[in-house]
Amino acid sequence: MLRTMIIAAGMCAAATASASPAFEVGVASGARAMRSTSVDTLTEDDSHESLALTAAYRVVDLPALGLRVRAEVAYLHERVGGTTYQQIDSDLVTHGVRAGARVERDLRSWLTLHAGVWAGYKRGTLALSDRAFGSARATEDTARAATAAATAGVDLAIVRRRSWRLVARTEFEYERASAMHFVARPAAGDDGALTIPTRSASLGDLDTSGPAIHVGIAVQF
Amino acid sequence: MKRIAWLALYGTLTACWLDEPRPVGYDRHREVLGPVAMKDRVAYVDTARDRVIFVDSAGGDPVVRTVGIGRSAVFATPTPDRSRLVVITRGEEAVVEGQVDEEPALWVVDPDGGEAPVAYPIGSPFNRIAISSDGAEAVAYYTGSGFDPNTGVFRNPNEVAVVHLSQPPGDGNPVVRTVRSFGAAPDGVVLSPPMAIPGADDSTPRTFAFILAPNTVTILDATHPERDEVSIRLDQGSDVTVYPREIAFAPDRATAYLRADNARDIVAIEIHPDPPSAERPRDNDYRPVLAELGTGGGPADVAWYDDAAGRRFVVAATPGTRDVVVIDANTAEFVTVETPDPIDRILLFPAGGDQPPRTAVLASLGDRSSRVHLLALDGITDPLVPIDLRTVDLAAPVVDVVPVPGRAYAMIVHDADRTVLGLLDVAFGSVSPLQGAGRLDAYDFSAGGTHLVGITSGVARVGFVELDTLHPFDLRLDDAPGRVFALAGGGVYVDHSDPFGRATILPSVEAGRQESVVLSGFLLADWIDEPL
Repeated sequence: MLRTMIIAAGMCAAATASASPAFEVGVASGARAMRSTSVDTLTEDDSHESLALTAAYRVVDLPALGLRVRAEVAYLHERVGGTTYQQIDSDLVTHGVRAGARVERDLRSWLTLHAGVWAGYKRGTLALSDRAFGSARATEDTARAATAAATAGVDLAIVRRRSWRLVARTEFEYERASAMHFVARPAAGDDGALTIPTRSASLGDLDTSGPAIHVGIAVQF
Repeated sequence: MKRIAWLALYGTLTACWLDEPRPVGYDRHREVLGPVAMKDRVAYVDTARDRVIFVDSAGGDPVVRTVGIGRSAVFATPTPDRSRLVVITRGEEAVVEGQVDEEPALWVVDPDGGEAPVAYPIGSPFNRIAISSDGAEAVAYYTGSGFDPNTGVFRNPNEVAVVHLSQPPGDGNPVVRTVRSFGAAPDGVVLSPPMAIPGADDSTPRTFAFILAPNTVTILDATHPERDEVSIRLDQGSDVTVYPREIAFAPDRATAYLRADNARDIVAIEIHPDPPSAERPRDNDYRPVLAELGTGGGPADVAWYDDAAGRRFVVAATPGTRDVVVIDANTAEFVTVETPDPIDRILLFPAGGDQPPRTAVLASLGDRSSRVHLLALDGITDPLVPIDLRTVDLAAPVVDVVPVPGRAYAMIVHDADRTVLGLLDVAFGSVSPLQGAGRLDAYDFSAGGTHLVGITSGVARVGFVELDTLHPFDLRLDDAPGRVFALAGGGVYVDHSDPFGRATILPSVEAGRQESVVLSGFLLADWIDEPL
């Protein structure tokens, strides 16, 4: 979190003014704070880090309102883990895609406010292992969730040229995700041996909803 | 200036991002008590989740059910009929925010879910429970294990809690009190079956707690635990410490038979009526009357049975004199049987069931004798009936003898690793050898005593021996086993010692791999959804 603040402050100092080209690609890192109690069972760290790759295209200008609309798709990778009861190590990795629209308004030539809405889906893999004794059979299971998000942020133009510009983006987001249902499926130790029919107990529903902050850069061209 | 304002706004928003620490309960140390075998299910207790987890296989399709109890379970045991689980929880002292003050409690859990768990506040973090045979009374007490300073500044090892399990918690239930001590802490507690004191004003049957300690047995009326106890000194002023070990009861005569290490005889403790003193409100209404049964030496083992006429007999082995004494508990008449070996183990057959025992298997384990002896019990105290003592020679020394429930068989163990076994047919006096691939770490006998079921840790197989034909067979498992139980409904439950929960359940001893099922992760069932 401190690192994020330092990066954002540095980018603010270097901001300059430019018009907005049509295409955009970006990369951002960030942190999501999952506020649900179900996440508490997995990790003592409320926030987990993420990486986002985005691509957007300016679809319409609304000069009367001073607004600009971009369509955007994004891929997000997130990871969180921890230890519970001094014994159960957990590792949750999610991969998600989403699409949406972002509305932008230039306040200055170097400063743009934006807000957006998104819909998507993500796939999470939860792995549990025995930290204390190593005697438990590790489990691993995959689940899916639908997501919806709303964002608000600010772009600061760092470099402005006639045909392209580089912006520093800081964005706050709230994501609502459907519950991901996991079971305690034995992790594959594939040695080819036939196995007795296995029934895995349900671990329950994991709610990964919560606010997030993303900081990154985007190239508009 | 405006950039500074934007920076300030950005910093403010970011500062609103606060990591909320999760409740401290998720950092507690986790242990799993069990598995505890019950009728057609197996129970586990998760000390961090504060849950009892039942795996029920009675319906053929295993079902996992969790029940919440108090904080920090330390001991769990089933009732004698294995229909309910009794758990002691130590509770918790709130030290940091998020923790909750909770007192120690004794929990009674119904695995069927028909009743909510009942908690009896016991006041102290006891770590053992004794339960009466009818399941109506329980006594929580301390074992002689080390004092845990996390549980307090002081500990009174002679403190007990008497709980009436047949009544709800309330005033007078439980009763927490200290029993009289002569410097020693209890080694154990044994509860009698309900016994009516002959001739007493109060003729209702009641349960007595016999608290065993070095040189002392203390009798406490568990039905009226507020009354004074009676202590019996066993050392009689000698320097030798006497350790009470076993007690058997003749409830019809309100009598207990006590065997103790370093004692010179078996002590019969008869409970006689003794009207309470009006000057002492807590005075009890009984007194023990002691008698030595006359075994002739320090008994190493003792067994008791009722014959077809309902007469109680006590069989005691005195290895020092190489005798086995059979005593008619009603008349104190006895018969002494000389044995070739110093006998220190007595088993009666048939064991359990409605039929009275007819044969005693006598073994000399301390002497590592390579033979056992069969003593016919029918009419043994009749002077006209000759003593029938037969010797069965074996191929190797005897380390242990284990009865097969409900059958006239005994498993003879010939080595400490339990790899060389024999099956003794008590009726015919024959022995059939069995060999194991490795150490027999856990075993059980199937319902009705039809099969021996055994496992070796580290070997992913469960072995069976059909006792009528001695045919061995086994089933390959997917994981190394830890414990094995034969369930009342005929199934077999193999626990794999996995803290996340892993068990293989066979619907019957003849089931193959495809008819069986592995349950995975059941100790974490609904873990994510569960509120702390």
